[in-house]
Amino acid sequence: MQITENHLRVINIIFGLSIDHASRTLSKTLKTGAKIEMVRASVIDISKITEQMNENPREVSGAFVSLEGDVPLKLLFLIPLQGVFRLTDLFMRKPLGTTTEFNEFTESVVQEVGNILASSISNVMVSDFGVKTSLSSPTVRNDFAGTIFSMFVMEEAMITDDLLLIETRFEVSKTELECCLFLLPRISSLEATIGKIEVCK
Amino acid sequence: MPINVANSNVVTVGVGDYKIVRAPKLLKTLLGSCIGVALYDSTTKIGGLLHIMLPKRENNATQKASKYADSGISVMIDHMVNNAGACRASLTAKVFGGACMFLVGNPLFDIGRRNEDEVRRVLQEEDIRILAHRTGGNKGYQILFDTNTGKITCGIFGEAPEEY
Amino acid sequence: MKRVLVVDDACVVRMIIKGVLESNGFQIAGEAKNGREALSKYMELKPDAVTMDIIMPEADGIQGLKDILGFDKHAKVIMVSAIDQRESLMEAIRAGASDYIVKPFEDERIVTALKRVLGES
Repeated sequence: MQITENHLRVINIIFGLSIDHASRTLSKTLKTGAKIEMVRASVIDISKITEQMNENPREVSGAFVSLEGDVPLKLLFLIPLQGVFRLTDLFMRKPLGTTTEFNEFTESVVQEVGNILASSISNVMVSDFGVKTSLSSPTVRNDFAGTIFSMFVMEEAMITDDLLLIETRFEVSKTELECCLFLLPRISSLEATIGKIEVCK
Repeated sequence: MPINVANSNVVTVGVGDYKIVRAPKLLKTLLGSCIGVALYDSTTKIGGLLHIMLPKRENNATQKASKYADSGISVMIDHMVNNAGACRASLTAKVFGGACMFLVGNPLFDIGRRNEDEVRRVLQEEDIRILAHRTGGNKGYQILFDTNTGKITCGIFGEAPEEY
Repeated sequence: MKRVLVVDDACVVRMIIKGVLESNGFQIAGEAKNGREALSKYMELKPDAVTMDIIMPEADGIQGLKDILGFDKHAKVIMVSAIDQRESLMEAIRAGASDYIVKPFEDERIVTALKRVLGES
């Protein structure tokens, strides 16, 4: 489908509010200021965006969540592997530097942060826009950032060359965590999604 | 372990795309279930790197040909020979990726293996010899293709890079 | 000492809930990571109460709640989820949940809820 300026305006509002809510929820979870800001919602060629991701061969941990229902979308929370230790310390309310090795707990912290962010976004969709959503349980993978991002966009890229990608900037105060949160609404369902929200008519 | 390259000569390839360069440039990409097909003409030192995502183009005629093994390889060969000036008879191939990245039950579960099968079939049909390959597993691949030598450094996530 | 079964697919959340409960006079009867495992652990361990996440693989928390109440209609099951939505809340209430706590929660919230459903408040 052709994505218009009007579609992008509505998407910016919906996801801007959802991401603000996710930011507040994460701050409460980590008991420190976490700021997630929506950078942009844009239609971008799959080769271009993956080329950007492939520029930097970082090793990361990623949590994937699928939202189904009136607003089908995929969510990816990415954090550099070394940042997982600090995130675990914050989550467990331990002094930074306590966690020093990867294990089941560090992986489940990434899993739970993905769950909290996705749930928070879904909560706003339901309460503010009256849509129905259901969430998958997050799955976590450790790999190169480019590989994980390719997995994230793969299903959408099977049916289109252009992705509707929502990018965010992510800061956790008193840390140098360079996390990323991406949202990927299903383009083929966008007309129905916006119709459900009934703000674009 | 990532291969660190801080070099302005390095050209990065995204999913469903291909890039063609001449020495001294290098090509790099990251792969999961996708396949990286590196074609090289040692006589002109021209190299091409194709990042294919799916085996067959089927009814997706509006989409870019370079996403698919059955259409992308011939498009890159044509570009290498007719635009860049590579010698068709000198082309050789190296193939990487095709990992099993998705869980059982996901329709993409065996897409890596199907990609590899189709790449091998097309390269055979095009009469291009595969000089080296590293495929399969369930981790990501980072590859760096040096067109000075035709060598490819391949790093699999969690392992030390190796040269092919 | 009242015994609690803690159900969540994230082991870090189980660990946090265990820590809060143990430091507030509860004993941990056991842990489970999905709704199906919750039922078998409930049958085996006969805890006094259960804390139950909702979004979990294989069998979710609502299914776990229904199955446990099917086995023991007096079971005390407190839902603990990041899902803060009317439909999910109503589904849990209809299925017989004793309380519904939204993550992230303050430690006192879960302690107070358990004491209340166990008649200790």
